[in-house]
Amino acid sequence: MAALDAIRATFFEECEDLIEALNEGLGEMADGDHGSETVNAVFRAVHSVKGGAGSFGLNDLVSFAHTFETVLDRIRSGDLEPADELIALLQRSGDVLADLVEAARDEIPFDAATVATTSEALEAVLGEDAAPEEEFVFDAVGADFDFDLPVLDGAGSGPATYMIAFAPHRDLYANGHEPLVLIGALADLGEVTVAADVSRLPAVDAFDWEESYLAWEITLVSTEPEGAVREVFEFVDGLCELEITVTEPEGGGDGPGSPDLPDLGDLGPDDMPGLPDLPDLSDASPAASMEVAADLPELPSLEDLPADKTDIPATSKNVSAKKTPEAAPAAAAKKEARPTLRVDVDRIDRLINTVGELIINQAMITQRVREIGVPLTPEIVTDLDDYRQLARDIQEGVMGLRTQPVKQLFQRMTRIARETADVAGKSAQLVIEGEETEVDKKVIEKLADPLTHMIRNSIDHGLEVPEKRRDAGKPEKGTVKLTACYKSGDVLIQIADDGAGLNRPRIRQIAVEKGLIPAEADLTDAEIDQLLFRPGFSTASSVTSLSGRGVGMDVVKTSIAALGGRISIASTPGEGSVFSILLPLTLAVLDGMVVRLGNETMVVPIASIEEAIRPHKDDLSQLGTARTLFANRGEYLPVIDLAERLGHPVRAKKLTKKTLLVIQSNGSRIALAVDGVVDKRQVVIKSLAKNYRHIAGISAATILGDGKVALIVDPDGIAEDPPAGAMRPGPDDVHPTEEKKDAA
Amino acid sequence: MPPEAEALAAPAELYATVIVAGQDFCIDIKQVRENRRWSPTTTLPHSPHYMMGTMNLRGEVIPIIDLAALFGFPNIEPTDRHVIVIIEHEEKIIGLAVEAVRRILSVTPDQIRDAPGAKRDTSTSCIRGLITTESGVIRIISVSDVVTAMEEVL
Repeated sequence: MAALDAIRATFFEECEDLIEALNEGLGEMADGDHGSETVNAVFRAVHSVKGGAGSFGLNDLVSFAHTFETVLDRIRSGDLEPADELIALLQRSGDVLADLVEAARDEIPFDAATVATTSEALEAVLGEDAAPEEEFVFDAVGADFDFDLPVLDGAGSGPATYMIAFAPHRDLYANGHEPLVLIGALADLGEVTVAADVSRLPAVDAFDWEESYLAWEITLVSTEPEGAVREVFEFVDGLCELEITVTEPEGGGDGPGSPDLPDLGDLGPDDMPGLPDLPDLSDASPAASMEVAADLPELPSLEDLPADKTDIPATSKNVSAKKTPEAAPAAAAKKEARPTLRVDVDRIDRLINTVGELIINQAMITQRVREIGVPLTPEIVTDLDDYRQLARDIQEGVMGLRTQPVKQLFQRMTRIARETADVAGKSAQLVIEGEETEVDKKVIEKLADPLTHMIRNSIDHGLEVPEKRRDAGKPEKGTVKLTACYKSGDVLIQIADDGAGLNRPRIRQIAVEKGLIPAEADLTDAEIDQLLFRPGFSTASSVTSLSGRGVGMDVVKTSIAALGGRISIASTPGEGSVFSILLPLTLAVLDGMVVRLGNETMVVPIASIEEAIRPHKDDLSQLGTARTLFANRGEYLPVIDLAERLGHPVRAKKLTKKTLLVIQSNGSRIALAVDGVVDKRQVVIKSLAKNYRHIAGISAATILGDGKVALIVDPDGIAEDPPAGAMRPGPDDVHPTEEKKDAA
Repeated sequence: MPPEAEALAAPAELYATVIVAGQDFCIDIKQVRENRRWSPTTTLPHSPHYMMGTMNLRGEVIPIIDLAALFGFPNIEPTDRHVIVIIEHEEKIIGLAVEAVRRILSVTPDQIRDAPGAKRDTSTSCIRGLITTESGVIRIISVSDVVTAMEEVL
């Protein structure tokens, strides 16, 4: 059933949010916040997952969520003390719940053993008076527990139940009336359940399209007097058969609060999110509600219900309950009134591409107009300016559609950290900061793997075992800090541990053993740190199940580079290491310095440029025959001629006639020589590899205002020292080894 | 109508004939997207001599191959009269610079002959067959082999 599938899909989307809320709450509890707000939020999340899962018959999920929820409930009521071990158990339970949701969503098997162990651990916490079975059965059915709620709320205040039989004549339609409007008017009075009576529908061949065959049975629970109900039908008087019977409110005796329904006492309006998907139905036509009601008759809840209420379909009731004034504010408060729209990423990508074209087109038009050479009127200048501004605004807006807070990604890391610490026998906590920082969605997706690997590394290799930490006078529990923040147009993500710091002598030794460096190599600390990123390097002396999966930091570096980012290390012995990832906000545009190289125009990312200088000859000194050094701020920087490095024909031009771009790359600085700086502008990144292939030293291409392609320089690729002997390539002499490595 | 039925039995394939280094070649028309006039390219670093560079095709950055150079003839000196045949192969869009595009040939499969020994030589490895016409032999360019040659690391 397509409608049900859609509801199911919505449920799982909602689950993602709920699990996020759950993890967030658990995180706060782990930080020592045991306030009722926090515990409540966690409880609500689990409860809502359970409620929804019940509606779809996801029994494993329901059963686990139930046990989980019961423990949370006991914490909430103060029966259980949220000690550290219990919170750890709750966090594991949160992971299991997330796994179960995922398994149910993808219809894949789950790890039954883990679920059973965790479930048993939870039950052990509950002790003897663990959830009685019958309570569980009742609760498991998500659709039913909300059922009595309106009646519960209404007990005493006296809403009446109106049974309305409404059968329009053909004249009703002929006079321009619409049953949906009437039912809508009824819904304004109270909670409405509608069932269509199709019994009078003839066979298709006997159909008279002007005849009225449908009738409706409407149940209205309302505090309004009967007169108000009749008033709705005032204008169709004589155009329909109408029968209204009133059932007066019942007393509080054997109703909702009866002892056989123990859970109801806990149910408040905030239990409503348990069926988050259903509100849509309240806006649907009667026919749609009918369809859903018809889909769910097998719900066991209906049989369990007291006989006098079985005439009200449970599902529809939930729908209407959601509309009660008491429920609405709670729901609104929880959602913070920030309506969101789920949009297919492909659509956004198409929009982004088109906007990219628009930007190029705008630049081209501006340039063409200038090239015509006629004097421009102020109007045209203003219009062109407006055009540019509008195009930029659209671009900015569209780019914003792609960005997402890193929150969810970071929260996943909490779990990774926990699991890693468990396996590695380390005591560790992951501290998260700046989770509201927004990054391109594509970047976030591709960041998950490298980040997972780095968090594992930090805990497995970075942090010492508790005993060592104690001996070193540090707290036994190690801290890994995962932070995100904006840094001049980029996003900086850092993973900092307070462990022992990089063991540089050991790194050096390994590099020598693996033949990465000659034994007599004289390396600075920064150079030794860089060895971590070399392919074929792995510091773990024993291959653990965590880090030793054949994936090294070189893979991390490559993935980060593929996102247009850079990674660097800073480490202090005894104090820990910091891995910094600098990422562009978006993958689609780049702030670039447009430079001239002979007849070619190229773009250098501004982010990597420290300064652009026309060198004085006193600042240049020769190092051997091939290398020139440039003195800058008390440091000697190697000069790399960009044209030469890229294999362009070498033209004799004095360095003093060129411009040097001081570039920061991999912790070292170089001076990149170009013929001149043309402009500074934002460029749209175009893939070169899509139709061609990757080129060493080039990250991508772009299209400039004149419609010509300009290549974007990859400063790290340029700064990488080519193998000895390849220092001065002739025009036809390329670097085969370098090419191969980059293509691999 | 028997003659037409016979024509249907052996469906003809269409080939676009192009002039490379003064000689006749042809390309399966199904792989040709469009023809464009030559426009200046941007040099690609570290690229083989037959890569002329890249150009902008409505926002797409596409590489341009000098077919003459690829086939072992001297590099072309591009002028306004040169044509770039835009081809598409496995989602890659590539431009092939040629001297001219002549006409469309309708060829039945039995008119196509193998090119023996072509694979052994780099300058002929991109030829996948021969078509004999009254005016001479026309070589069929294998687009997939051209793309492979371009992708291959030196």
